[in-house]
Amino acid sequence: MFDYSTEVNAGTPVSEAIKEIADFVAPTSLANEKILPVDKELAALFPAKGIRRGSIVSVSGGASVSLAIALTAEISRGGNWIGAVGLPSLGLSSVSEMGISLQRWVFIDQPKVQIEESIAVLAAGVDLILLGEETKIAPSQTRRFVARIRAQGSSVIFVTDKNSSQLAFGLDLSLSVNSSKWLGLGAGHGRLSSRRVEVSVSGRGAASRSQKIAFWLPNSRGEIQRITHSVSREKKAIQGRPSVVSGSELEETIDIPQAS
Amino acid sequence: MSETRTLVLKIPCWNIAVAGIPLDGAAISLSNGRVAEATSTATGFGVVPGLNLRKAQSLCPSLNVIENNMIQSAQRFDQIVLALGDITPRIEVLDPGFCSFMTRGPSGYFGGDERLVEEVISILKNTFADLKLPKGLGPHIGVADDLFGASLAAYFTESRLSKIIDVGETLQFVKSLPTSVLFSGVGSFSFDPDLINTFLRLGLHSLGDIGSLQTSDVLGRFGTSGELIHRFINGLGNFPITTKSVSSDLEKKIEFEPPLEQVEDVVRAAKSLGHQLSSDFSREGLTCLQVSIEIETENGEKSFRYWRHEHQFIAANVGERVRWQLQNWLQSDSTLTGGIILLRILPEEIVPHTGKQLRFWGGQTDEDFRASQAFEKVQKILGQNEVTLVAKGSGRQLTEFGIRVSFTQEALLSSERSKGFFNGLCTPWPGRLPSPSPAVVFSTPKPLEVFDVGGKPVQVSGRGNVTGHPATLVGMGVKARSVTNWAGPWPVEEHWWDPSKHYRQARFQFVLDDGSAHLCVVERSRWWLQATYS
Repeated sequence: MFDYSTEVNAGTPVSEAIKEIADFVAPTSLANEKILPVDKELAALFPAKGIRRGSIVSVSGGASVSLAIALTAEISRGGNWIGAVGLPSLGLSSVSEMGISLQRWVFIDQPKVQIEESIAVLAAGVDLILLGEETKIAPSQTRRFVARIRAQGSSVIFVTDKNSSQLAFGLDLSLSVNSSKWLGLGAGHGRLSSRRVEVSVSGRGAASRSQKIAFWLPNSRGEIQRITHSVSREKKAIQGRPSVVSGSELEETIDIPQAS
Repeated sequence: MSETRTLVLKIPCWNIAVAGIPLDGAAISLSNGRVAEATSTATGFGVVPGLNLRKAQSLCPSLNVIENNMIQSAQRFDQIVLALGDITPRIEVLDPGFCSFMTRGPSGYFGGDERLVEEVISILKNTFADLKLPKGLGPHIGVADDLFGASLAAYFTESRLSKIIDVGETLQFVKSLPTSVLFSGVGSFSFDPDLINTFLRLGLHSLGDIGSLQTSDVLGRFGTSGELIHRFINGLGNFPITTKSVSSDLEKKIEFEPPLEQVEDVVRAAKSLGHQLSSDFSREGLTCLQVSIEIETENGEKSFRYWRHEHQFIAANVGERVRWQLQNWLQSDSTLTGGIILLRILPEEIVPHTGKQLRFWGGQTDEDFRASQAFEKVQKILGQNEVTLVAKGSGRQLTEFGIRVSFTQEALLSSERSKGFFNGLCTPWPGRLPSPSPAVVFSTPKPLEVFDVGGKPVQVSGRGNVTGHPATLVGMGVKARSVTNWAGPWPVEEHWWDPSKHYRQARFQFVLDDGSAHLCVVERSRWWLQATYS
């Protein structure tokens, strides 16, 4: 779905290119694998290059829902089920636009009774659960809940637009969107076309050294793309047109719908 | 051809009629927890065979439900078969309410198929009256060159009681039918709905399309079940109507010396018999759907019952059946005088074990199986409608992209949820919002107020002009926010021909000072927050 070709292009040693192809064609998820795969561009967010089974991750901040959806893409593509709990307003078209099949998504909009029990039972059938902030886990239940999720080998991603990573859980990893800037919209003209987000990663173990990583979520072609200087220069060189680097440049390249 | 010419008699709603329930109301009969038959009134409510009881009752709460009493239905149907015995002795009963016979002899005797059918109908009318069956019971009779064709003809009698396909025209008739007729099963033979869905998805819309494929291709691509359909369509196959008697060496029995007094001991013995039974069968590539269980006490008291299982009998469920039978017996008959000395299990119905072949793609995977088990458990906790899947929607509005459907096994496999749509292969609706789409779409929009720089409310004129540049946004549960960038209005008008559905609105995109982006609409001079680009 996403165009990887540009990375394998000019200047990359052949052996690396082959390795990359080998990674690409390898089966995405094996039953005994301990890591749930994520999109290649987002792998840098995780010390293990994917979501470790049984881990609890939080995604917070302005672009949290989009980021959480993007994290499900590879898992969904491997034929695994995704559960969305307490996210009644999830935009289905945005999920589909990221190339994710909704065929194996299950929704529990507002669990009212036995919340922890329901989610733990659900976790036995799905590999990843997105948990909206409206789903309140009772503090007294937290420890037991987390232990059950871990034991079943599913993962949970907490999705919240609050800019805080301080949740009452033993989080393994916290992804917090610090800044998010939409491009493409002017004063009365244009349309939203791309967004630059900066995600700060903090967590336990290998992730304890916090770092910041910037992404296009999405870029002007609707793809997720990690922003590194070499990539943007390369894209510029290949495509022979201004790359999506700054707002002013971008506004020249987008088409502006006419208001009738 | 005329050697295999067959008459099929099918009496719809037989089980319901036998139970003495009037056929003009909404009624269904259940078999294995699913709707087996539905009266035409019930069908009008959307209750069709194959649904589970809960779904059927939610569609039609006034439904009259009966459990299939196969023994009673079979006994009553036997009387009809006896009456038809005046015409021919060689009647094959496929199911209560469903039988067939070869027409070669009788048709010659009565002087043609039409006469024969008239004769059958007049016999049926008399028998129905004798049996005091409810009014409105109409037999469906089909005559064609083979059993498959005749069964199909019996389905397409339309308003008449019978349909006779002329000699030599059966293939043509069968091939003209749509593939979807296979869904309800033909005769006593039911086909895998997944397979039929696959045919439809591949564009094989009529039976003729399937029949014209190469046999080897069909076998290679769809396996034996596909090949069977292919053979039927081309008039090559026939139903295996065999009254294969079960040889007595398959019987398993165990004698207890001294007699057993505890139920659990008998159950344990039954499990070991069940284990022997199922391993015997699996060696032969067979599986057992019905057993009879006989239990005897030391003083000669006997309990005998038939048990049927949907898939196959294995050690555990044989043990369960014996436990139920014993407990029922103990409760109903308190005069039991001695311990159990004999347990006998005899397989009654044996079919080839087709196994479970997982598909290369499509169909149900192991993941789906594991997931659906979990979903059912969650439904038990939260309620049926709290666990939803997404089916294809259509329309220009964001909320119309997908429809939520409650999780059921049928929903999981339904063709509406076929892969193409979910991989984004369908063409976008004209007039849909340009991508990227907002990640948060509110099912009920939130009211807003939008002001221009001068503090006056911003409006959109009938011609689609804004009265001022939006500058401040109030609502969304927070204090006023200032608008840094915006675009619009993009007008949408739908269903102008239908006053109840008609709406006209103008869409705007806003970026606020905190960097968040939102989709808002104006409708009838009021602002609404529709979605957020979270």
